[in-house]
Amino acid sequence: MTAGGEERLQVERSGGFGGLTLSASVPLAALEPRERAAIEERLGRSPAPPSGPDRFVYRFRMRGREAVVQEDMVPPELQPLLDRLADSWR
Amino acid sequence: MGGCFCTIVPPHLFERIVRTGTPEQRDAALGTLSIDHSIRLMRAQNAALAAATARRAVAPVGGHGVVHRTIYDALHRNDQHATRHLRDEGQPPCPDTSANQAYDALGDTYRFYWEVLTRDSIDDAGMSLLGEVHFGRNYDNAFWDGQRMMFGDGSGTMFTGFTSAIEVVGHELTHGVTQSTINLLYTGQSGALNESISDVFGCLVKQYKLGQTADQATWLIGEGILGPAMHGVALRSMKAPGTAYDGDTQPATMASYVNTTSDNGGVHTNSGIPNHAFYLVATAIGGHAWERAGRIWYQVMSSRSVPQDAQFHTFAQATLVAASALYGAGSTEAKAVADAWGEVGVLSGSQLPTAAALAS
Repeated sequence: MTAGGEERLQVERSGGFGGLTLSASVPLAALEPRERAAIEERLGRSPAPPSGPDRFVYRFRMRGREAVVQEDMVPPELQPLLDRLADSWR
Repeated sequence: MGGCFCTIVPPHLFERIVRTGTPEQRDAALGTLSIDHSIRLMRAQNAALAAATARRAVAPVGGHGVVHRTIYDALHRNDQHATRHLRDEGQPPCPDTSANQAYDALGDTYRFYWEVLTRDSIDDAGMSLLGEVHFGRNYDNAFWDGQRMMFGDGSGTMFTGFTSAIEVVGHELTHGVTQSTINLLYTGQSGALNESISDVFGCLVKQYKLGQTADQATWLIGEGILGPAMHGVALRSMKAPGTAYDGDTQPATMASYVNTTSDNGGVHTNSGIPNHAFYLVATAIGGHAWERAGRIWYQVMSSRSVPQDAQFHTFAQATLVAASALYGAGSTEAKAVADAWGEVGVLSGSQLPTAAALAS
């Protein structure tokens, strides 16, 4: 969860036609307040059923808790964060 | 008493075992009774299917067997209801390469389902095939949303697009066929079966178009769409799961089954196991895979002989029942199916119905 003492949000993107499981992370300090609120609101919730075949599935982890969000359930507040991560998936 | 029940045992005795036997005896007896019932049901369905096929053979041109395609432009938005038409049925090629590729591949997929399986589109009632290209921005994915097939352009680093690979288009359309037949739940083993069925028929669409035999085919999914960040030849290999690209984690057998909560329980990972089983069946039978191996798999779908939450072993038994109903219990085809599921570790000897049970 930390790198150099810095708390980070870990994001996993799995699924899709390719079925690739990829990860990215950002410092918690770099999140916009509304982004952080949207994630915190979802932490620990039971995951929604799959949206449909070949959709992406996102998993957000911070401070030992996680939220699983199906692609079509990503709230608008989190879309800019995913756009920022577009080139970071590894 | 083991799991093998011979068919000289009358049904009422099975029923008594179900009522009074040990749990193990009960399970074995129930399995045999259920297989016996399934075969009788499937034989009746086969007769009905043959009659329907005969009726369709004389259907007038302009009715069944005519594809209706529309390709829309998503204009790089996440818009699943795009309205801008790029190419409609019967129109000549447009200036958009992705649109033409999607149009052609949807036509090839329709033709496969109609000519090989006498299925009239996704719903077997001539449903229009709707595709959207340029979905999202740098979107590294293609998917079926229940009504339309969406194709991203790819980021250029991981994927270079999705419409150039005919098996990708066949895969997506097959999700629609699965939805309108056995509608397998998209999680865990039933989800992996859902994925595998799309890979199987995606591959068969390609093999049918190219006229390839099982030995000639590459059995690769997503050939030619990998970008420079991906090192490999494709996304999945049905012939050798786990070898398509560096980092491919697909198992070929149950011994390597991956337990994970990612990807809805590894639906694109564990699909390697039923994928490989199909490959083994097709190569054991030989010739064109769509003629017999594909027919057996499709029979399970069209006769809706598995529940939505079917696990691998349930689906495997259903393919064995289908092979026996179509080609005979002692046939090369039924043996190929039993051997394949045995080889990938899904069915062990005691779970296989006896030839006598299948012939009853």
